[in-house]
Amino acid sequence: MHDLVFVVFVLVFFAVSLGLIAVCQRLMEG
Amino acid sequence: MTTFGWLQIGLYLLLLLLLTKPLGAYMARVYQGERTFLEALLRPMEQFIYRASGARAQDEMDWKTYATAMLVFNALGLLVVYALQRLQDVLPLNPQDLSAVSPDLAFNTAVSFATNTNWQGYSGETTMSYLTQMLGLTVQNFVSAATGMAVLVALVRGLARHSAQTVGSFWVDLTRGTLYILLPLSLMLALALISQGVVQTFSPYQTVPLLQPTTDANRQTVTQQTLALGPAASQIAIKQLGTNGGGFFSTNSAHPFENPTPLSNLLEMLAILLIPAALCYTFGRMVGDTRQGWAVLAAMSIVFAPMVGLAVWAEQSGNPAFARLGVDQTASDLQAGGNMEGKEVRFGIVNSALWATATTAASNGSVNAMHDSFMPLGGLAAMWLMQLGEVVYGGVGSGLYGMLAFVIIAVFVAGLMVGRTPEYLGKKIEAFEMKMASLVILIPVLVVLVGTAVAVVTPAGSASVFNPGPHGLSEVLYAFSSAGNNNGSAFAGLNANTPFYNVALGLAMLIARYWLAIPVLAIAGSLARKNKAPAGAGTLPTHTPLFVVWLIAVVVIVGALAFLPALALGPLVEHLMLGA
Repeated sequence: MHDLVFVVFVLVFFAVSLGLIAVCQRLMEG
Repeated sequence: MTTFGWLQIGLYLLLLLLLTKPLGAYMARVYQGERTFLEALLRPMEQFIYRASGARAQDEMDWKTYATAMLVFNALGLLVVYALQRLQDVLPLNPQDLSAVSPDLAFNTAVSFATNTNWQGYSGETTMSYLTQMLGLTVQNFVSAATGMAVLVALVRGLARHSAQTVGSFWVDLTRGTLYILLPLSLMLALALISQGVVQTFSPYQTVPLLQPTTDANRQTVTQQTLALGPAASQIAIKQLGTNGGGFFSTNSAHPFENPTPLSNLLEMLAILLIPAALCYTFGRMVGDTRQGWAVLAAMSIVFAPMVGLAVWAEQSGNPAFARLGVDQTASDLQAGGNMEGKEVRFGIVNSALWATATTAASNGSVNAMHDSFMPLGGLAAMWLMQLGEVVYGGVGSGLYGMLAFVIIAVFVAGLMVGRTPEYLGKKIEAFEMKMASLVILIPVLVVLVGTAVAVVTPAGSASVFNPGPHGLSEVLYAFSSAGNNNGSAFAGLNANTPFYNVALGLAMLIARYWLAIPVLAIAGSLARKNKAPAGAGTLPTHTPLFVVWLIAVVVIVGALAFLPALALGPLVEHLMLGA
């Protein structure tokens, strides 16, 4: 159970990080 | 301080400076895809890696693809290290039959090593199997360092190129950085360390008779002890060169099997700052103006030197509380003098304080003395170097890209002040670059201060603090400064192996690593697209002593403004209380 929580936590963090890439790209394009 | 102490610091800085140019030039050749003297040996291996992984070396990436590849690679590596720790009890190379690591500690450690932080909430010899140490932690030591260097190189290409859509290939940079730079240097250093007595073996721990029997806490006579062993030298070499810092043994480089002699101490200290310093020259070579690299290196060194002086002075001055008791703390032929609590007699004051300053300047985090036992101002020097954002040399790659974010801020503010167009190396610095550079500088500040505040006001956070008062606050502030800047060293005295700290510090490490690398790569992508304007009468020269002073001012003012209130409540007030 704990393992699942931490694995999901990591995956969510990296998914949000991928979202940050998209946000930066939008900012770059003005 | 003794003359011999000054000579040791001088020798260290001289050797570092002498190695900067040749290594920096070599790394520039590696990242520019030019032939090196290791080509014949390593090129087949490089090609094999590309073929086996399916990476197309000739295909360059735009910044988004580069950042995505970096994130995916790091996420997978993190999960592998997590799995290795959770399954180590059923995996081979576990002669001590160590049990599986708890989930929260496994998470914290996996994050710690993937992010090049190497914060350790555990004792290596009683927690990690040989397989976990080698396949999990040591591999991450290499690839996390290579990741930081790859992000830097992408940024440098953004500055060097014009009207370009791509910033290089993450897979190529990762592979070449590991194969041509980290592996050969680690091999050489590991062999040198083994020659000094650092252990490298798969043998189980050895039980040996004590030379002098003693009694334990239960008044039982103890006649033998267990010596922890393992494949340490290979991990120690990369832990220093890659500014990782995670020790094989609990006491890190204070352990005689990690750092046995004065020569091994000097080599390890050199390895800590070697690549971060040399990358400044690499940067200069890749942008076609080595003066730019020297200017950045000068700014770093000018901040570093007084911090070494402060730490050495604070430790050599000793403890005023001891002085009031009449204890002789002066250096002499018979004793090191000063504050020797928590320090190895083998290394003394200067080599402990110099190491502490280097390891916190470089986001390395390995220790050869216990920072918690430093005098308040000695501890402050170490803490503040981390809080500056790990840009004074900093981590391999991450230190220089952090400093280049400060350069962008410095150029922009100077441009506003004197009415010149903000530009750096011919690239116009506009609102987007400023926003991204601001993120790079402000995110660690936010992580450290918010994390510390949450820890000291919640029962879960404050329950781990063993020391009351300002020193307790310093311990928590140090922990978040370390995790929030990917350093990894710790003030002892804080029980960080709790679910609260394992998760909170893990999150701090993740944010401080990846949410800085992404804006840096965005700056790289933005700058690569721009044209290069030739230098004109209105161009601010960025290689002059004046700009170096200005850059230092920006770094120091931001660091001082952000952390002075917290430092005033921790080490500064502790210093004043000791003297009262």
